[in-house]
Amino acid sequence: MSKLVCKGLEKSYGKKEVLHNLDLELESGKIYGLIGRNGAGKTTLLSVLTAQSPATAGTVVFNGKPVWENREALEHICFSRELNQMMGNSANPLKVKEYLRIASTYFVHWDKEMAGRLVEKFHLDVNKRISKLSKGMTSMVTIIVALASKAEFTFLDEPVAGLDVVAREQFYRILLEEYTETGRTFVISTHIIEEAADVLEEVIILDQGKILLKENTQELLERSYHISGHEEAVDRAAAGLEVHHQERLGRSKGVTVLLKPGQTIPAGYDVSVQKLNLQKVFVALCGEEDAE
Amino acid sequence: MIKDGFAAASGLRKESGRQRPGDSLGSHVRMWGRYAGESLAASLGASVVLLLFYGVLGSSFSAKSLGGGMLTSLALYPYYLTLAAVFVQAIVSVNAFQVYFSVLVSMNASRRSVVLGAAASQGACTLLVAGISVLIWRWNPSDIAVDGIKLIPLLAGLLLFTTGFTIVLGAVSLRWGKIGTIILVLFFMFWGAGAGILYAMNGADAGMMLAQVQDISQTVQAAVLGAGLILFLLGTCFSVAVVRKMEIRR
Repeated sequence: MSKLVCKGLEKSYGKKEVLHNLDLELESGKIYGLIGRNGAGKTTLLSVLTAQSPATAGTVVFNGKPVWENREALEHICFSRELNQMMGNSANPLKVKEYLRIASTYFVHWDKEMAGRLVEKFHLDVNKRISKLSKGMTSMVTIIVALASKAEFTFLDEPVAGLDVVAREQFYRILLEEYTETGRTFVISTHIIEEAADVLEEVIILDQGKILLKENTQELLERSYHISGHEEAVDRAAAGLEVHHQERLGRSKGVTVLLKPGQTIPAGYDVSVQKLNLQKVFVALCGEEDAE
Repeated sequence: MIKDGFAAASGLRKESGRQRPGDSLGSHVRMWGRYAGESLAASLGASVVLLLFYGVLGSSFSAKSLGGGMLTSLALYPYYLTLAAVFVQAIVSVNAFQVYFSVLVSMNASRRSVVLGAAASQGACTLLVAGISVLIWRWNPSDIAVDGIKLIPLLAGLLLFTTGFTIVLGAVSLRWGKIGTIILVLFFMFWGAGAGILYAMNGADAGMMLAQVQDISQTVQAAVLGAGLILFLLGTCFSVAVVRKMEIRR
């Protein structure tokens, strides 16, 4: 089983430290979701993992081989990053067909047939320059490169940004088909958490350059609850539990709790207990607490 | 939700077709060979336009004013080709860094191989321009062609000098931003001003200018070629060093 492992990873831009002593292990055959607030370091992490940015400290290895400028390791990796039309030094002047031609030259397992099929499915005009594409269309280009690269470990940075709901559904469907057929590993960073939640086998929550949590999505959801009710009843029900994100309204209170193995929410209190979706869990873990 | 271990057990079941190393020599030859071809085509096209334009205008550096016909026009063509190639190669060398560097590295090419590929493509263009010039001048019996063929080291040296310089500029502008673009503009201004001054000093007589250039000794030409080659090689090495830890931030 292939593994991409980073240890003691640090990344700074000048005096600003973006990633702090980060350890992460990605296994083959999973769809990971990388979620975090703006500026949490998601794109930086993906860039360093895929050797598109050098780490300030720490190591990134694929099956024991360092990935930095290493052809043997990079052959198994594709990071199809967001095409930023507002920045220079980019693919903006290239036509879509030229961009795909270059991708076909450099990605070892490039599937030309799949690329052509996706271009048709997304109704993409390959004769257009990337600078002339809409935001959604540039996302489609990055999706096509990611999927047609057939890389064992494929990283997508905000792949659905700018896509309409139909295209997003199409993307998730194609992604699942590809995953089912090939068992490739996908790491997807996204802000549209709830839509992606059903697809993500594991979720990695990044907060201020640190990994807050890496867990099977289903198991995380099964131990995440929201307890609400009268302040005193909530406090008693949540006593001894791992509490996150409290909100208050008058004498009412709501808290998010993450149960540890063997823990349950005690019965007998006049409180409302609800299961949470992934987005709510994320907000509870990374959101700002209400002022006391 | 997909069950744990489902895909892990499946592995990469569907391998697509042939497999080849992504950052292999073959990939670079395909990429940069095409780039060199496009660059050469642009130089050839621009030089034909220049030749026709100055021919129609009857400038002092045209067959008409030199009292020749078609053969003289063809004998002058390598000069126009070199002039066009200087500008085209300068632009495409910088373009290789501005556009292709990020794209190729994001597709797993190594930083070093991208710089070497860009340099090799422009080095190949220089060789091809020199080769085309030799072919034209060898075949052409006019005096301009006979004298011209002796200038090949000088012209190749100028092209290598330009390419080496602009590869450095490309790397510097990629690493340190707009400063490279400013230097590039100054470089073209320097070239334009130098040519203009030389032209004016010769009383706007291109024939006399040509005669002066043709008088440049083989020793001086060899020195120019050597200097161009050294700058080209050193520039390439310098650029590799400058971008070796370059971030890809698109």
